[in-house]
Amino acid sequence: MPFPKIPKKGGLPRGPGCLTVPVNKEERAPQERKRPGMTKNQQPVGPLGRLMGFFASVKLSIALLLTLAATSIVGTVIPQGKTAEFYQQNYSAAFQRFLEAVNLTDMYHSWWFQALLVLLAVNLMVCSVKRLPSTWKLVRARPAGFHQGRFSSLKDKEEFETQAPVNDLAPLVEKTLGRRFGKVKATPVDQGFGYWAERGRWTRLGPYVIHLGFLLTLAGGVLGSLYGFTGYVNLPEGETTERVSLRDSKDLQPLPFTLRCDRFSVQFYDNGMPKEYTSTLTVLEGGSPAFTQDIEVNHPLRHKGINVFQSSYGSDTSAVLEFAHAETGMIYEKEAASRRMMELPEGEGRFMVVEFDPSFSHQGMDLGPVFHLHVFPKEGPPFQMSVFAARPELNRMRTAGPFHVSAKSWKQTYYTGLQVTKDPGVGMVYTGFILIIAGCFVTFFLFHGQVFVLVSGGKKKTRVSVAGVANKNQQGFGIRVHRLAEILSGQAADLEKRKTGREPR
Amino acid sequence: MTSSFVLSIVTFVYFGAMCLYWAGWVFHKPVLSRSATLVAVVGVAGNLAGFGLRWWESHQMGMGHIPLTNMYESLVFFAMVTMAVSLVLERQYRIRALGAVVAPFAFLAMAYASLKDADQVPLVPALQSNWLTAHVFTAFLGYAGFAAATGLAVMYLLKKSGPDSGIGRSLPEAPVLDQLMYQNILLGFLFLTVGIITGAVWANSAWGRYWSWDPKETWSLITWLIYAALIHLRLVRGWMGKRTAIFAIVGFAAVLFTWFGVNYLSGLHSYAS
Repeated sequence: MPFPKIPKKGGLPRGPGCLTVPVNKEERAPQERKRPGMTKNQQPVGPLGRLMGFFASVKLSIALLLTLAATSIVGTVIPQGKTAEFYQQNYSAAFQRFLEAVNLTDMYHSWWFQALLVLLAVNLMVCSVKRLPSTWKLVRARPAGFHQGRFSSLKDKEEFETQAPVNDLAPLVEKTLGRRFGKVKATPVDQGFGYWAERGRWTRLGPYVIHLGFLLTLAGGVLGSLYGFTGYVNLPEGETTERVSLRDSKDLQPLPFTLRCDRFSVQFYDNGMPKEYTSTLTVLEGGSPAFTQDIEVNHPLRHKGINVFQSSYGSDTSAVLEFAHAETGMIYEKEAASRRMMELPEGEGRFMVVEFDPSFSHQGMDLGPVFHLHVFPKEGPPFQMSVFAARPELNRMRTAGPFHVSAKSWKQTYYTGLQVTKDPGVGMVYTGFILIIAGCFVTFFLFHGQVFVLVSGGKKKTRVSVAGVANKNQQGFGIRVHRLAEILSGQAADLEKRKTGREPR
Repeated sequence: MTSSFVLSIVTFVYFGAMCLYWAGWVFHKPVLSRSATLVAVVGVAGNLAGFGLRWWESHQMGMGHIPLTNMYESLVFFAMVTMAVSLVLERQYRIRALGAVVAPFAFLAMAYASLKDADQVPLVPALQSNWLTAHVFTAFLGYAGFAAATGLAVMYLLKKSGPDSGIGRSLPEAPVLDQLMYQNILLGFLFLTVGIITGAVWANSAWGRYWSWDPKETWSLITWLIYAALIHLRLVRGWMGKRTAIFAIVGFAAVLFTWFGVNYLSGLHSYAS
């Protein structure tokens, strides 16, 4: 098949219009030229008209798209949202001040970047509001039907002649056209019939669908940032929490339920790579368990608009410490978890296990597992001490208040690192995603095509002309029109053969 | 025979196809162009076989994931899809010379892949998702569309600079190239869009955030914005020809940076390097 003709350069309209894209002059419906606030020359009238004209211009859209692209690069080169120390270490003081001044350390949330996005959204909305009514009118209009004037103005007609009479050929054309292009409108013309069929008129709405999807995605993002949160919590096995720390502000966010980690486990592949992290979580409502669920990476728990994701893990060591009073010999036992302030017995002060070292070495000597404690005695300054789990004799050297401390037993417990989010905008964002994909497909690969067939005859010969016009993909549609002409020509030849008993010339 | 062996042979097959395409184009010898097409078909078949074999090997090793999980595998997939798209267009539109500008992409991708680590490793928990397949598959279909468009843009510029010169003569008419380039950009744009969206949905199911402004995400958005601007310029401002061809080549530079350059920045996509 030869490559079909392509319309020459200049077929596309220029101007401030957006969204709908008539390719050929005859495609442009008359009402598309009338725009509120515009004269015939499409010059905006008055300050409001000029403002509307500014926001409705595609130049603005393109400028915004390219500005967003260019500025976005900066945030991929300069690490975003790091601590002040990070920027101090990596950049000069002057450059740091510059970064601070234009919010380049968190540029995607800066006022100016968000302003660009808002501007793009407004631009899109004004464009759509302005153009949708005329497109809608075009889509909802009564089917045009065969029009001699429009037909005559079409280029690239496919024509053939046959001896089959008009009245025999006409119903055949109507049937074939109907089968390939949908509903057919027939119009009697001088010495014959004109037929018109169309497909895909609704596809002219495609760009609006994409743009609506884009706006919904942005709106969903705003909704999520206003009414959602991203937090995290490290939850040791067996413990519960009713709140999580927020990522951005370090504030605590209460949850509408209580979360308990029953168990955490890691599975490894043979080569030592992690295979799966699993947390068994129980949701408690009003103090009693509502349900239990295992979560893994990619399989979060969702409840009451809150999502709980497996994010990280770590281990903690809790110990049973024995406190022996140096003078009275009284013995107390305390279960101590890491980094939690505990009371010393007899109200002698407080202590905290700050670190567990599974193999502590001192001056090249391995002293086995050690707990490092901070002690805050009732009187005197706080100090640090170490409790040697495997070398109890070393524990006699120091006391915490009046007590000798030793480790009676200890166990390692895992904690699971959970990311906890709430995002009421996700539904809107996903709806936007679906509209964008569907809209792109419709806009790029479907089109509004109209096909015209004129069957007219004199006494001996019948003349058939076929022409098509599409709002885009003109050459793709041309192939179909060409195919239609071929089929019609074949049918006419068959008919002629049956009527005359002769092979057509 | 291992998949990496098959795929390293494919690299040479693509190299052969590329040379034959060039020879056929420059010397106007249809027999060379025809054999180039044949060699390219063999290359794609071998590429597909290597891809399938690697998948099967992954099952044999007890991992069983589609080979779309790291840089090596993405290069192999990209080469396969790009060469296949080129062959389809070549057949449909009778543009023999297309292979001359697209085969280098396939060859270079495979040659670069041979420098990359081809070891099969199991998937870390974050990658164990069906969204991974959808995300990589669509993103690289998009890249393939853009690669073909870039090849066509180069051809367009060559044709324009010398329609009757030795290399310009055997090329299709400029408007045909222009139109085909645009069609491929639309194809690439649709799949890039789906690729970004499936990535966002995946991120939301793995980490609870569909967008984090991670460098790779941001660069995919930059690429998307550039092509979106190009499409609007063409549809509404009537841009055609040379300007769009140059724009398409700039857009492909953004594609390449999204794919390779971002690995020099830090972020969530570290396993894709």
